[in-house]
Amino acid sequence: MFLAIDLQSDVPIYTQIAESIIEGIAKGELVKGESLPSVRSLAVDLGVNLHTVNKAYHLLKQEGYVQINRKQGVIIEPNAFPSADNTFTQRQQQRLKPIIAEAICRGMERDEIIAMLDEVYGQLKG
Amino acid sequence: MTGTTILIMLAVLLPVIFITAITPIITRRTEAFGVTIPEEVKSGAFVASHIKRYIGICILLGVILLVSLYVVLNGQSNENVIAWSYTGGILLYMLVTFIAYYTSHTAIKSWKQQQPWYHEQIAVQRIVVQTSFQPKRYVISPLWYIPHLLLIAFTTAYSLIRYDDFPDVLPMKYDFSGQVTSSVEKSLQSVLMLSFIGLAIVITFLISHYAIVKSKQIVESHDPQGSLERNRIFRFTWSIYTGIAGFIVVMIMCMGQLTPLQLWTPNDFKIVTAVGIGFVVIGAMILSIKLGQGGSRIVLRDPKQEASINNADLDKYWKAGIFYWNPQDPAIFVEKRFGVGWSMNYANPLSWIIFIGILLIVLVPTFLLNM
Repeated sequence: MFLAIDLQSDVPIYTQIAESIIEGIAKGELVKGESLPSVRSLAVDLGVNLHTVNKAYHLLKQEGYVQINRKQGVIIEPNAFPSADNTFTQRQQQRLKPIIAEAICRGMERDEIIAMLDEVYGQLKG
Repeated sequence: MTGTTILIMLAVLLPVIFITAITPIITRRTEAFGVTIPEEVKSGAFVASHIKRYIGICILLGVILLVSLYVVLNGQSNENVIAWSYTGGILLYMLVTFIAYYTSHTAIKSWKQQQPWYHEQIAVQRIVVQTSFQPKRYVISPLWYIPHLLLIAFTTAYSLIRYDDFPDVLPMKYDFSGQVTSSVEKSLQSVLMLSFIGLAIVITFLISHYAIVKSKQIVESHDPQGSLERNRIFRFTWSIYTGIAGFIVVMIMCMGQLTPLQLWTPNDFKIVTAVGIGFVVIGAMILSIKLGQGGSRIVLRDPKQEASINNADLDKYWKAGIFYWNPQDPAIFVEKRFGVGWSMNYANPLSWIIFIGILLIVLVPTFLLNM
């Protein structure tokens, strides 16, 4: 998978790395059990601090997307990812709120917003 | 000095002049004189005129260098004058061509900031890397350096076994016509000196090998998959070259050490040295031209997959377009921007340790030799 970050973006780099990897999993470009580059090698290739990559990996581990073990390094969780339980859906709703609120402020209708969500879904699972 | 010797000395300079002159052509298509530019701009009129100018200057200066060296060296018998004018001439050539480079570098840098694409390029500082495990090899195995070590071990052992057969006085330095100008008394140290230098050379080549392994990935904007594959071929080929070149140099050292035993004549040794060095130099030239920096001149059989990703513009970390100074980057080895090969991130203290380490490895045996 090609992992891309933008140094000029307001979004912190570790968030960008984590989100990019989750996106790769969603798209099927990263498969279960696949190993990710070591902290050092990813930091070298991206030209960012080792702590930044470390933070991204730990964030992913916390969310249950990767496993970090001494022998194999960082791998995509080989077993099932955590399920979309109540806590998760509630959190996603919270996250969506400002995005949809903004769209409403700009005058987007319900159908347009749903069409937008549908399009993003299509980009990931097309 | 007379005809043939001068011609050989001048002929040695031809590859140097040639590689210097063609450098802007063999660098990546997204770099011009150490400045990041969109690929299509490199063939545009402005950059192309700078490239032409630079090549013209390098060739013209090269001709001046060769002619003036010929005039100075012809009939010259003073060793000091010969050595100083030769090295001085080369250094002066490097300095003046650097000035030519630097004027183009600053001109393109300021020109770039007035271009319509500049803000678009600077607005997004995207860096792309490939995360997947690569099934194909990027470099040869370091085990290929075992023959080098075996050859040194064998030469050392053989020198010790036949220690008594070495002459009491060993030649150390030769002048340009092959006459011995300095010699030392036989001792364990002087007999085995070239073994140690050979070992130092193997270590230096292994560091180069390591640099090829560890250097930073560069994914080009317009063709990520293709640029990675070209880069893989580039690294793999240069790692093979490094292994072979290392073996040739070690072989010359070992042969030199055993030459006083009269297994072969000094003239045989001279021929092997000339052929070996010629092979190393010409090999480097051919690879530079064929592959280009980072593999940018390789034409892949598969059609390239177009994808538009704007690459980050790291100009501010490239001092004069040549020295990479980025304290935020943990990388040590990076691809050169102007020329073929690798350079270091000088903001990383580890780079300096490696740099000084290489100097010590090369200097210590030479120092011991002169003791």
